[in-house]
Amino acid sequence: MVKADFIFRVNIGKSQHLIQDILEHAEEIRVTKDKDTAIIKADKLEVDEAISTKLALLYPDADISVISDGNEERFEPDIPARIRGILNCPNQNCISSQPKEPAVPEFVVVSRKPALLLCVYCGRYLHQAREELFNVTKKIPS
Amino acid sequence: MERLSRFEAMASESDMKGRDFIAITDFSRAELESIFELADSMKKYTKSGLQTLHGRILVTLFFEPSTRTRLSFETAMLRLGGAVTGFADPSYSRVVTGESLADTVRMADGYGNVILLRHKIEGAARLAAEIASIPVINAGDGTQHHPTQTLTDLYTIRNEFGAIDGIKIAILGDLKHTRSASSLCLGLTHYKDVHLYLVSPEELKAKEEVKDYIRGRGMDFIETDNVEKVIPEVDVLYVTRLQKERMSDPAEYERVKGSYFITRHMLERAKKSMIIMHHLPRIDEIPIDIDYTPHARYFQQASLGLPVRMALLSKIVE
Repeated sequence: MVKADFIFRVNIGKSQHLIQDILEHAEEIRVTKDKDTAIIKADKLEVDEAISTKLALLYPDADISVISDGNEERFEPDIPARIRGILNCPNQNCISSQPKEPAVPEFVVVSRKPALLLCVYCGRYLHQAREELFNVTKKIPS
Repeated sequence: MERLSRFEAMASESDMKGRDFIAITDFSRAELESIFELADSMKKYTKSGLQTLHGRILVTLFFEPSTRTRLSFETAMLRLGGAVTGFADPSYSRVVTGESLADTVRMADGYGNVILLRHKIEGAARLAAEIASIPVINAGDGTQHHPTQTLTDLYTIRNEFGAIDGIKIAILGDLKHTRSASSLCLGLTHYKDVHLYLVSPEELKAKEEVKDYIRGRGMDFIETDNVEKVIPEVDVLYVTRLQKERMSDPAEYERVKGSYFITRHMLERAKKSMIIMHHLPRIDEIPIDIDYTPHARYFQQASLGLPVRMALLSKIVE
């Protein structure tokens, strides 16, 4: 768990709102004039495994720093060995994509850079974690 | 009818009691061999029967059509002295009113001792296994797995050649959508020195995930679209059907329709001992005149599904 201010250096373009969604407790997001750096002010921001995974999958090329007590350090968001309940399987014929069924989307991480995920239910690869796949609505206690 | 403690002993020796069977990779090579050894002993009882599973109930949940898998499993359970309930067509169940698979499985879990599930949705059997307290056998989930077909296929090869190690096999046809083909590829990785040819038109090549798994297990394979070149090389020619019902685009079927089939002329250069297998049903990829060649084994293959499934049930049902 990391608590700090963050600096994103990536061409975020239209994805500014997405960062705000991910870092839902961010107090302020400023984008530099050249639009490739987002300064996220969040005194009490907590980056847990889910947020870290989302950052790593959506912004694999981002250069992220944290500022803590005035010191800037590089931050490497981590991808765990298994990812559960964070992003949907893109295969519409997968049991985890069926709204009525209690299968929470889950992936095994085959490789991290570039990220390659394998759905534990349908056995299909997920090569690229697109933005819309993160809209997971199933919240089933494990 | 006969009650033989020998069979009960063979079945209870293993630690497979209560296990699910979702993918062929769920069992080790040694566990597969123990099923095959028991199947050898079961062959004598496919027309008479035993009472080793008396009082146990197999619940069949078939959300997709089946002939061989369902009938052979039902027969296997009855031959072992057990009973069968369930449905062969979901239109006769509450699924038509919108009941979920999960709720249907919960009911079956309360009624039976083992569940046999076929579903068009990939991962359906894995979810069922997470929910049920009794063993779940995957009778096919979408294009993904068909482990008991692979058990039957491997047993057929073993039965024919005495071993599976060192076999030269070509799998021909719709390798993209055929779960029997994908499962067989995975199953063959249990064995040594297997020479695998994946023969298909470009559009129907095996899934990347399956090929990566094979490579990861250290097994080589050759991809080609030329069946005639491969036939003289192999011990087994495993033919698959075009899976029209699993193609999302009707144009895809039209493009590949009739793109592969076997003729007697093609078999002239085959080894005398070469066998042709097929998971069945066939459409037009194996014309009926091939049935009368010494190479045809697909009907024997289907028959061997019975002792294999008797052995599997004996191993996992408590």
